[in-house]
Amino acid sequence: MPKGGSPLFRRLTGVRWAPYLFIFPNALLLLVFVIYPIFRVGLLSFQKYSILKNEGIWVGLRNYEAILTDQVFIKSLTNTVYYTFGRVPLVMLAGLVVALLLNQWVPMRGFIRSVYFFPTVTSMVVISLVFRFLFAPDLGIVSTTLTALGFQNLPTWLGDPHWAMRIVILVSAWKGIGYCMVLFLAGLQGIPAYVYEAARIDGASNRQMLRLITLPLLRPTTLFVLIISVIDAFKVFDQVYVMTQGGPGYATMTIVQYVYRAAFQMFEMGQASAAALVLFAIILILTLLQYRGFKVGEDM
Amino acid sequence: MARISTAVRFALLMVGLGFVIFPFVWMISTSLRPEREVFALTLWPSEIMWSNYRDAWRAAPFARFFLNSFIIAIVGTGLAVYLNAMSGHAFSAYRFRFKNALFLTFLATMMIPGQVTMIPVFLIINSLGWVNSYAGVIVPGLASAFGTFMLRQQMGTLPRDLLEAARIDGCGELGLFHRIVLPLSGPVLAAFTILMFVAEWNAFLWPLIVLNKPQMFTVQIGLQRFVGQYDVTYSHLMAMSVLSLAPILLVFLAFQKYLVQGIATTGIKN
Amino acid sequence: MFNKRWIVGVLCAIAVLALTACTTTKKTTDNPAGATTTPTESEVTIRYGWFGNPAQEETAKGMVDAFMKLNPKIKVEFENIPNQGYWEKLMTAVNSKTAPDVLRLTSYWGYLLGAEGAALDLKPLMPAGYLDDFDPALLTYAAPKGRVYGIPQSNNVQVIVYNKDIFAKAGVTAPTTPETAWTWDEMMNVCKKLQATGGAKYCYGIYNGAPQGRLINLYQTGGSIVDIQKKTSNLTSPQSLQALEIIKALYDGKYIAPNSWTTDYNLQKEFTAGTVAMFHGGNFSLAPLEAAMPGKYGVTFIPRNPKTVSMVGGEVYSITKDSKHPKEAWKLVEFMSNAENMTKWSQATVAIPPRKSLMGKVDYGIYTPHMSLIAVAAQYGSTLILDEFQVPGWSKVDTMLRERTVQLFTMPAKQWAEQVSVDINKATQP
Repeated sequence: MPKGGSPLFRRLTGVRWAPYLFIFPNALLLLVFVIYPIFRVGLLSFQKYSILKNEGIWVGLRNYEAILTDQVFIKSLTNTVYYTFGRVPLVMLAGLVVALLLNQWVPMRGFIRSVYFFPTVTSMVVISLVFRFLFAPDLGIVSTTLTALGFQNLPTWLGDPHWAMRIVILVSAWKGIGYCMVLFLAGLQGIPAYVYEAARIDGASNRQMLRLITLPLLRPTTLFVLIISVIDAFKVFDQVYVMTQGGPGYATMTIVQYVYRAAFQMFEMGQASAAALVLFAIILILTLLQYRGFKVGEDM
Repeated sequence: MARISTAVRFALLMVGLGFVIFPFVWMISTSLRPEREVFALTLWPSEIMWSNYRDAWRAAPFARFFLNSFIIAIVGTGLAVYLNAMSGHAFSAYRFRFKNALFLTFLATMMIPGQVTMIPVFLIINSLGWVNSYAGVIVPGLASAFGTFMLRQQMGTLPRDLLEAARIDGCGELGLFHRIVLPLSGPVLAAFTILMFVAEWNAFLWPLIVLNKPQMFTVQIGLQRFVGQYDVTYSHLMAMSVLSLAPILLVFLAFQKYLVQGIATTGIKN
Repeated sequence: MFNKRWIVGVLCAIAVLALTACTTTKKTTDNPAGATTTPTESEVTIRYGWFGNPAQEETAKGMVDAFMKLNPKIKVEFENIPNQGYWEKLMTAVNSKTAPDVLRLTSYWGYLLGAEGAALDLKPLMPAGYLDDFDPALLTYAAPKGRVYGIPQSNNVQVIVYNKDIFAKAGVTAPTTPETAWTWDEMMNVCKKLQATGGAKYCYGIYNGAPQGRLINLYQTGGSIVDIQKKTSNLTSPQSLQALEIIKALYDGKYIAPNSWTTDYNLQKEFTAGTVAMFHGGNFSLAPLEAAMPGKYGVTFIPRNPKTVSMVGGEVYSITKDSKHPKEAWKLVEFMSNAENMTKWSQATVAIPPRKSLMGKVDYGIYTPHMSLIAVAAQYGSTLILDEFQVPGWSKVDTMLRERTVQLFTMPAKQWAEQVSVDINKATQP
């Protein structure tokens, strides 16, 4: 029994009750700011809510109807999918390649790894502003360099509906490579060297070793990175808000940008909540699907 | 693995490194140029304008913005570490009724992204009167189970006997937590601290929603000041961006070992 | 390791202390409604949210300082509002009672706040007959339903600003009277010259602010964005389509930049860099241009079809609904709107004063020749624009049009008008 303090105090902090005490603050926070809100979002999605009057009128499924017939919302869904399919393979591939290259000794290995990783800890706002500057149409360094190299009729980058999303993807990938790299490096270092040695003795080529040893043994890591990256990609906001605000002509409108716009620019909190719930449903399904795929993969 | 020559690997890595470093180099270079030269193709400006930093600093109350960012980052991180250490310890060192149920609940909340719940959370913050306050920014950010899992995993590796021995010696559970578990969890606590600090410092969307009064803005929000209605003062913007990265760079240089370790272990755990 | 743990512990302690300190400080400064900070002297603090460019900030702050000298019991906190991200939060700020007491707003936002009930009706606060000296046309946008939600501060007029050097090089003279203003066809011929021999990449920088400014030529032919009576979209009417086709012709002729209506397009920078020969700006462009390219710019009328047109609007002072000190806030507004300060402000922002007694009496210094042309252009301001503000749901239309005008470039005008009309009607007829 602990010494000191009143009997109640000693009881509360004894082995029996201490865990509840320890969990309590976090549990309370989660209850108030995560669990209750997800239900409230559900409720709000059926209301027309005025931010000024702080009251909601029940409108049933009207909000869902409104967003599902809103071509901006549909565009935000397709854009987010396009973004995900663009960014995730790019960042995973680049991260894997760098990790493979760094897995063995090179001079300045620690320094190189640090530099590749640094963008991950920088602020997306700063990075977006810098890239917006680099890609300024006609005047930015990218355009002037390409012009100097002889290219003509350059697109206006973030002002061109075909290029805007590509630039957003590029920026996101640039920033995320380091994170994937670290995860893949950890996974690679979990593969013991003797496996490769044995394979080499058996006459395996580099490519065969990559295909038959490295990648299969990396599978848990790869799937983990995949899940994280996909969910992250669906939540994209900062760079879109700073670089394009969803434009030009909705070319970069993403789901979260749509939610923000609905709530704070169109003052339709009910519709914003409906859109948020759709996002939640998508993430939930994706997560469960990928865990299922992971389980299946494990059994194989 | 492969026997691709070291030289080739080094060369490839260097090329990639160039792409990674280039934006930072250009950012610094632009921050030192006169505004009329921000788009020139030269690396070296015609005159080095240290004054850009001073002018950018004065363009908005950045001293205040930095203070706000620091307060939010430090307080938020400190509280997050402490609270998550507590719940991580609870899950790792005890058996109690409802443990599984609570554990699964914590796990489930990790699937609910903040962007989905931000509207009701804003309404809650509003009714608490916390709009425009540090509490309004910090407290919702503490509601995350991620830290609990990250710390729990590491704390689970502490030997049971040690804890039992301490209990026999009369050490209460609180004492156990503070005097044994916390000190022995140093590395993972450090890793989590860095992750939280970086996240809080870089946070944008939530502070954007909660903070209305310019005096309360964080650095990330304050950077928007240079994006004017008709014009963008790039030299000042870049200067301020460099300054805003400085704390992160320092933290990174000092603690990257723990950071990398921390991220890597979350990957392996799965 | 011991050190790290101590750091964490100390940080936590600081954290808890700081948090409690911060929240308690907040509580003492946010007094319950009506109470003053110290009972002995009733010193009052009000917040004034101001936006503008740095050149104007000095004038604005000077006025506030002068006010505080005359009213020692009133302290004014001057807040410089950032441009992006603030306007959209204004409503939520008012709702959470964290908005400033006095705001300098664009006419559009003044109307919106008033319509949504977020701004105080100023009629009870002002002395009788206060508004008699103000230009009645300017009062309409900040005075929906007969109440007054904003006091006009300055009157901005939109005209075309051109680059004198490029015009000289191409041998082009800008019209100086509304009757001799170019027609759009004549303007496109001028554009050919300007791009061929003037050295400009693009002839015309089309307005990229409010949608009504972007589509300003709608109002010349009797078109408009919405039908004021029916409150539905008017973009598909023949008159509106005619105007839209003109914009398309400008784009197809490559006289305007393809990214004109995107967030990145920096109209003023393009002009000062010499990429654009002329642009749709206004009196508000003059001071910044004088700083960037002194004396190298001129103004002329927006092309006529059949008559020239302009967009007239300006800024207003409003007081937010939940201000705890409306009387003191009004005092500040009254002070800043008096003849002396209005004159100062009109000179600093090169704008037309809303007071009838001051019109024609402000000395604009080097801007005088430009301002006389601008004063003429002001007479061609379309009143339809002000009426459109008052259509319910206009804020959504505005947001949506800002996003969608760029799509006009890449599809037939009729198709664009039809698609956008669907969204407009959804907004105005919920």
